[in-house]
Amino acid sequence: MNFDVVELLTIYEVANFSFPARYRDLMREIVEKGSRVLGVRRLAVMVEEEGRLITLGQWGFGGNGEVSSKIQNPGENAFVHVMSRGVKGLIYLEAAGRISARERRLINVFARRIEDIIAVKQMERKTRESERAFRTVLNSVQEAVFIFGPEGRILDVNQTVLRLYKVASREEALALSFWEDYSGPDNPREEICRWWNEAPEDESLRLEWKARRPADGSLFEAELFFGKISFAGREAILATARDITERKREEELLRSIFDRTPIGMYIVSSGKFQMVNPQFERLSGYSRQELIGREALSLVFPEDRETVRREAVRMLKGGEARPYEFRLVTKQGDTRWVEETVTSWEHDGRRVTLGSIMDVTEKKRFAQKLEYVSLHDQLTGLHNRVYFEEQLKRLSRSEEFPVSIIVADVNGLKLVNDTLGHHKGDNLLMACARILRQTLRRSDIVARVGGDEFVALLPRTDEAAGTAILQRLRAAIEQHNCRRPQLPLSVSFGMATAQDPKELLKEAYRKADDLMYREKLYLGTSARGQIVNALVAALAERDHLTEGHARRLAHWCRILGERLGLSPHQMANLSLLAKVHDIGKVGIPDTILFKPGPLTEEEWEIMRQHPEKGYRIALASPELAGVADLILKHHERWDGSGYPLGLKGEEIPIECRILAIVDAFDAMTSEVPYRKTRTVEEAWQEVRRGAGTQFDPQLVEVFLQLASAGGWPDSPQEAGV
Amino acid sequence: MKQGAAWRVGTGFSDQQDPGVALSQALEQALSRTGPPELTVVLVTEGYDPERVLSSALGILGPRPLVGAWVPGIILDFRVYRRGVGVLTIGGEGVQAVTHLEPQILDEAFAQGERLAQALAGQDSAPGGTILLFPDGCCPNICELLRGMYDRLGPDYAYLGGGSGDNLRPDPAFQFTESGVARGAVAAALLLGPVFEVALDHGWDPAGEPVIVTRAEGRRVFELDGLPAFERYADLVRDCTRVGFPARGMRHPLGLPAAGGRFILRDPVRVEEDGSLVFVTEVPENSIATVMKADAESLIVAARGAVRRAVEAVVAPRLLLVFDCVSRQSLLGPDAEREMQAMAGVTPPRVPVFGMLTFGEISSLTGTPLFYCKTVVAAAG
Repeated sequence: MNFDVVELLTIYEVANFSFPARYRDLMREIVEKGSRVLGVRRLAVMVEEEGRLITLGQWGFGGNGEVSSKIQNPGENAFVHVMSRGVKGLIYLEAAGRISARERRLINVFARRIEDIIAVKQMERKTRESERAFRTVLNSVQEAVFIFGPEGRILDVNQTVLRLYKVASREEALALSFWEDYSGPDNPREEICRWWNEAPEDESLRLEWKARRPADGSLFEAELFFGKISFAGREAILATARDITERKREEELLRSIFDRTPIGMYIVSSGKFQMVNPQFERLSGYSRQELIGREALSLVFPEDRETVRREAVRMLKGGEARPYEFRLVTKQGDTRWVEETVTSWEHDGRRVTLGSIMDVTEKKRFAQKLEYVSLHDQLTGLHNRVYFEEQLKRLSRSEEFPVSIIVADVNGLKLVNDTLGHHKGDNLLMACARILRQTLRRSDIVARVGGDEFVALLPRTDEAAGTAILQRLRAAIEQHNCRRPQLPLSVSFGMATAQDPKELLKEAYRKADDLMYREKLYLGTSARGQIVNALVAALAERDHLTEGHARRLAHWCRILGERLGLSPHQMANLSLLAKVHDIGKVGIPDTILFKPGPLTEEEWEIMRQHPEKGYRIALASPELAGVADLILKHHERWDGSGYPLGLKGEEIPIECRILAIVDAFDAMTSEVPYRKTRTVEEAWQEVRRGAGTQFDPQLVEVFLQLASAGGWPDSPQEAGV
Repeated sequence: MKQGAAWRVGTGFSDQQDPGVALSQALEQALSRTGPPELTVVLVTEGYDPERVLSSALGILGPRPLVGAWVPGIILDFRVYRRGVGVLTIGGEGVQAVTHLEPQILDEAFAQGERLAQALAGQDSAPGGTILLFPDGCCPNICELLRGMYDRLGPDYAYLGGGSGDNLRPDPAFQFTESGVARGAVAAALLLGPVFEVALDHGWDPAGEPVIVTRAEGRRVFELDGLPAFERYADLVRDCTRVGFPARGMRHPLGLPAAGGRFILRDPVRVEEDGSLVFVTEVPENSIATVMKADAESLIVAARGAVRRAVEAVVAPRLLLVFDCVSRQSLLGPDAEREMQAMAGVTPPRVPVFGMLTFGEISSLTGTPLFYCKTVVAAAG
């Protein structure tokens, strides 16, 4: 055997390295061959990873960590092979003695062979790591991923496919057909085929898809993206599928909300309508077809366009969405107030704006009305105290001095309200308001600030001018009373002037109020008496029969009173009582007072109030105050069954007892629409029957004696009434 | 490592029936030359209970380092004793020894080799010395054990030894140290002081074309050149049948290329049912092999050459250790005596010769410990 053969066999050995899976096994093989065939007594294999040398394996260093120093200072018995083909690193091989040329040659072959193997293994490792990384990424993707060959066969899937499509294993997933097993019917298969044949490399395709679960055939909504890739060295299709069932449901819900919401909604892009909902159609009067593509601002009332434009700009600059109002012009030409909120975002590279509008026309009207009501007196239409207070403050700060203030208070309003009813009182107030409004200037501010109190603020009005105005007011009231004497208007006035802001306007107001009050005190009862007179006149005018009745009563009461020896004072009261005892009836409606038939209980209830009303009226008048008590008690009965107090016997003033007999007799013998007139004898008999119950029996006797003595006329006509 | 200044060697042998007596006699002969030894090597053949031998030795020596094995033959002054107890004692100034018995060599042989190395040469001791190894020749993974051991110790040590066994029977043999007796194990001693010059040879040459060991596992070869191993082997060897295979295989071992133009031999010992071949020890997969041939003359020449080179490398040798493969004795038959004479012829007189017939030989002649077959390893110190 010569050396050439051994060298050949050695090369055979070196060429016969295996490619074990583990580096540990490779190192064993290197150690075995190196030590046996080449006499290697130490070796190390190191590769560079991330700039550092990593030892894949070493042998024969005795665990003393001298690898680095040996590599850095190799002796004649050492061989260092630097790896650079596919893998960077070095191989250190050390023999027992100096390495001969022949040994170096063989060792070189040995090292290069190791380098090749390591390069392949490193490549395999990197490939495995890449594959692992690919698989990890693939499986971590939330979308189901299919990889197809050009012929449509599934080459790979990720874990999400198994989960989403409920497939047991990857192997099972690969064995199924995408078209038959993973897809529902009616999917656009042709579109994919066309895309595959025609689309360029970097173009992807997005489709909505009915996906199918192979196990149970159930379908779900999916969104599919198709893209061309290179997989395992050949063309392939990557398809990702995402379950969009929930999204579709939400879209449908949103669409339904969009269509059914009572809020008008639209989407505008580039200033033109792109989308509108039915409510917006209803609000605008335009159909969807008419609106799409139309300039959005064209529906805005011209004067409001600047507002709308300003709000749009503010929102586009990132301002917070906030509602604002403008007028919308409908197709029919109506103007509707709407409240709008807009928001904007980027969609498909375009800026779009979503507008939401609500018809607030009615709300707006109501608000205006509310504002009017809040600042006006409903009865008179004048401003109210709230407005007055605001204007008082405003004028205090203004340059409209001097300012005069007139305070006006309607006299006797309560009396009118109590006796004639509130509607009569209201008439007085409205009359007063009308006079104020008509007499004062446009620049003046007049308000009703209390039940019967009015205030007028007269800007730029000095005292003289104010006084002149006040005089005009008094004249206007006189004129009014001339026209309507049956219910005269009596007003107390006070006026004060603030010359400049230093004089507090409030102080002027207080001063005017004081003056008004003093005038009210001055007028006092005369003002009320004037009203009472007017009331009596009104009562008389209301029914001439009633007035004749009063005169007859006064006559006969005087005769009876004299017979009974009443004092002059009593006689005067009796005479007045006879005239005004029914003054309380001025407040009773005609429908009751002149009812041609019996009264109902409710009507009687009203009727029975007149003594008390009369009492109050009389108290308000100095002329009548003396008979107020008699008026109150003129319907009491001897036996106590009368009203309103239920007095009996001599508790009832004699004037009232006299009046009761005379009044009853006159009523029975007078012509009354709803009752048959009785004869004198019948009336006498009736009076006699009432003695001791309705009437004072002694007075009845006196009355009948007088009558039988011929002191009583047979009829009213005879009496000259 | 420097030669110990005044180390002494004693050898002894006895074939008394009683193991204790035999040990005592042999040990007494050896101790008469060395006095109390630093290391005692005890070899016993079949017919002797190693437990009793060890017990007797410990009774005499006390807890001194002792290493030994059960061997098919003891070589003492170039005479081969198939029955008896042989003792080698080494003592004197500068001699130190440590022993270790690594039990039951199993699949993790590399790790066991590391553990053995750690036991013999602790981290605190300075490197160097000769490691005497007596593994069980039946263990299939001695090569892996040696590589593990070497990885831990490195090239600063010399490795010597031979596989113990029971005269070609496949049963596990005994190995022992002063700590006890084991089977299927490796007994080892680190000897400091004496330095040995080693030489080896086998006398075998390639006899045919190379084959590739395409599939193998440990000492079992399944395929050669991609064919069933026995089929390919029989094709190369000719006239080889399953019947009487061990004898035929012993004459036609495979040779694996080794450093320095040498071959390492591997004896096929069995043909399995599946056509695979079982060798005496490891045959690496992907290695190249050729069928080897030899005759009595080449074997004898090789043995003489190995001893001569070892002895001549030492100025005044005090001891010659010989590890001679037992299969060589079988092959040589009557010529075995001539091999011994040939080796004796190149060895100076009065140099004590102590050795054993082996099941595999261990030497680190090429730098690392390798496990040889059919080889004579001679170490002169």
